[in-house]
Amino acid sequence: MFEIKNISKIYDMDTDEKMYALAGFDLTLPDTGLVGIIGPSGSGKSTLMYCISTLKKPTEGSVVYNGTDITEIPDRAREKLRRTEFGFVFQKHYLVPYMSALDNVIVAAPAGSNAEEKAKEALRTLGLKEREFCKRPAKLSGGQCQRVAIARAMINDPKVVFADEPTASLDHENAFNVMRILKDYSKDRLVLVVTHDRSILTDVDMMVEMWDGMVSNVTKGRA
Amino acid sequence: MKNRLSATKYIKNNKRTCFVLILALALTFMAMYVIAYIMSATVESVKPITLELPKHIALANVTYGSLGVNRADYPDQESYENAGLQARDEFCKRLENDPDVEKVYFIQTLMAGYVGVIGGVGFNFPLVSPEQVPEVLAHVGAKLTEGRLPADDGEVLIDERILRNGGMKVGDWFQKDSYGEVFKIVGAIRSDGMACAGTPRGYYNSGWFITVLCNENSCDFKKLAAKYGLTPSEADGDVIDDIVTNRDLYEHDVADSVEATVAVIMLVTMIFLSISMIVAYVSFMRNRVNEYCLYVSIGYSRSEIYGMIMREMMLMFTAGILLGAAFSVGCIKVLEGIVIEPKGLVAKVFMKDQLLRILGAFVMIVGVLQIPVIVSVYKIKTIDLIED
Repeated sequence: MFEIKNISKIYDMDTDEKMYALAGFDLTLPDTGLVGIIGPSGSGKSTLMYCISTLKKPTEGSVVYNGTDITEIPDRAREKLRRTEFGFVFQKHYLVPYMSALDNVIVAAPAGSNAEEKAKEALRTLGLKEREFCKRPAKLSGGQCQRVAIARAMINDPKVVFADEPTASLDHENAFNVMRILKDYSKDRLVLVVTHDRSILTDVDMMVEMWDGMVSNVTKGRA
Repeated sequence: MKNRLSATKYIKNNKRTCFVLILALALTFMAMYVIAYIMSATVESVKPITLELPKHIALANVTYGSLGVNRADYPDQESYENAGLQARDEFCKRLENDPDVEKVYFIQTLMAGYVGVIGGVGFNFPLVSPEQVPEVLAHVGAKLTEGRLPADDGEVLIDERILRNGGMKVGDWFQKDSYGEVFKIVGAIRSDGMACAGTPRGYYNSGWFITVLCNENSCDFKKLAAKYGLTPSEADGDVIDDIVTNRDLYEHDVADSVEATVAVIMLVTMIFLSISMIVAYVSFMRNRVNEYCLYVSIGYSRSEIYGMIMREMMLMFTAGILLGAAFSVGCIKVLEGIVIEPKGLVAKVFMKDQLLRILGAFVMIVGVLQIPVIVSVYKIKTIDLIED
């Protein structure tokens, strides 16, 4: 699904001390499955995820998605891709504070779909109770907020879900619940999880280890 | 792709914040409209006196010189004055023979004051003999609504609205603070031109005038006089109080100055509103930065976000305008009850021009608000940049 070739991302391009967040490497990701990207802080794992998901443009190299180099497509096409084929779970849940849990999910739904029913179904599947649907994020626990964020990421039935440290603010139980949900979704979709916590990546189909802007190891199959 | 960024969700879920904004707009609308309404009370109230009454009565005080009588041609003052009086009487007779003139008197007049909300006007009304009062009233179309006609010296009939305006009633002394206990109000009258009339007492007056009971064809005194070979001029000391001078007074001293005042008030209000709206909108949008960043990150374009912000703004402005209109109606009803009606004033309730001006001002404010909105939309980042 993704063919990443010679990808590099350099910060502070105009200064003498260039910072290589990604230092030029190749990587191929499968069409489906749970892929873990792991590495210490500053290793470039989040930058890699953002470059793959079109949120960042790499300095050099290409990211070929279904045969198209998505680093070269116009902004409009990138937006459309994020809207229709990608889903995002961010480190902080970034729920809209004045919206209910349900509305927070619906906001990412494609037009014309039966968004409310789909959103309710997604929230139910993720373990939220009906009475919590109309609660605002401030009235939900951290785990519930993250599940709402996951429901939002999945409402448009994306082909790829990008999750950046999705369990960072959760306790162990909630963290494993979230990972279970993502694992279930990855049966016929691709789910990329960026984390520095190896303990949550026990059930991944592929593990990409990063160090200092480079891929240091790729493991396929259960870690 | 059709987007799901609803303009109503923010408003529904942030009623207090939005209500403050809507209220500010509504109060601004109300201030702009009600100020114009109050100003219109000055303009509309003096309209009958300055534009209607002079169609029926023209006053002029013409010097002997303008009548063709010069002191140098006479051996002494007495013969000069006699010649002047004769010339004036002959001129009055000639005027009275004009088919468009009903009557001409050379009489004393009295000044009535009429105070608007801001400023006011004074006008002279004729003091004639009791027998002549009915013909003056008939000529100006005035009807006695209370009291009786003057039967003795120093009795006056005053228009109902002027009575209310001056806080007077039938039986009171007319403008006691100006004339003392000289002219008694014996009746109230009503006419389109707010005419007044009365009988003289001694030499208490505000001038002697050739008083022409005219019609629309003869109410321009200079034009009328010219038909009979006279060219009166203010530069030569002649005093003319006719439709031309009154129209000029209305247009330049009343309407234009009120219009200028309204324009200045509107401009100042608009500047303050624009500044406060920009400040409010900058903080309003700053509070929603993460929300906008999320939208861009999940695939909404900046133009879709701009569209949502504009729809929210339009909804709030529309609500502000509707609420402002309702507030204005309420405020006008109160003002009508406590100021306009009791003071015998007239004001325009529906002012199409002012409404268009206010809407224009609001459109301009929306235009000014494009600055913070566009700057904020331009500055929207994706969430990865926030997390960096």
